[in-house]
Amino acid sequence: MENIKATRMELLKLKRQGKTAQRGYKLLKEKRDGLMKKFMEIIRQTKAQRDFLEQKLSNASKQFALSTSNMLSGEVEEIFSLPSAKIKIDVETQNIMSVWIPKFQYVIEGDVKCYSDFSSPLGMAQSLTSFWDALALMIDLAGNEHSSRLLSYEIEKTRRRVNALEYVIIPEIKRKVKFITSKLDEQERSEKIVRMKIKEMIA
Amino acid sequence: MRIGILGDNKSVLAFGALGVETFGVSGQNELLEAIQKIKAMDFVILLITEDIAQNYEQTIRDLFQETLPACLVIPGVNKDSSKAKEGLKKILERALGSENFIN
Repeated sequence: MENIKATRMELLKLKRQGKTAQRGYKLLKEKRDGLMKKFMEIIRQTKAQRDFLEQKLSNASKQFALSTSNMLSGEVEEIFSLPSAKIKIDVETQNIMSVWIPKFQYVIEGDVKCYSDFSSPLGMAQSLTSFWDALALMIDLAGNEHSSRLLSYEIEKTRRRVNALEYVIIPEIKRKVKFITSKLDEQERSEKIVRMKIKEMIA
Repeated sequence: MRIGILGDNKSVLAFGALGVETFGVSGQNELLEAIQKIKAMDFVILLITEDIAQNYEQTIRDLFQETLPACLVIPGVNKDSSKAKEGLKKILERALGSENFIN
């Protein structure tokens, strides 16, 4: 409180600041709510997809590792050296309350089968099919989870700003305004008394 | 536009057949090299296996914060760590302030 100049100029400045802070607070709060709404939409979907994928993939990758365990990794690479599967993917970025989130559109072409059954271990085909089935899900989930992650960073930032405004900056400004007003009033009163006294002395 | 997978050598093998570009890494330096390559090309989706996500958390952290490529942590060959699930939990926690908000 000591370093505030109790002047009319300062008071006007503070009042202006208070108005801006109030307005920013309202806007940011709306932004936070908007982000939250979108986040909730995405996260519900993501959670379900994630559970499903987890189950599917961990089984498949274990199976794959087992069936290729007696091969060198070079050999496995050789089997897959000419994959016929191709993923055509296009991405659009969408702006939600200043957060850019990706949206994917994809076409999966070809087939996972790009090798001869004679040159590959038996169990491999089965695990590859599970991977193949999970591919579309993985792409969807990647988009969704990444979007929700990006949104969550922004939500965190916005929430902090809202809280800072609500609990620190706005109360501070209000306190300062109150201090200056009371000081100015006090000055006015004392001047009035002085004038009255002088008038009395003259009369 | 491409899709890539970043993981230990064993885990990424199968993805070669799916038309996904594989980056098998086994050390910090290889990982850095792979990340550089990934950033230089137009990858839109990057799958990351749990082991890598867990062991090199610091190194790959900034990958997660950019719009593209979209990163997804998937379970790999090795014993499942619950890292992938943890990621989702963290997202929830960050956004809501508490993870038990929805179930």
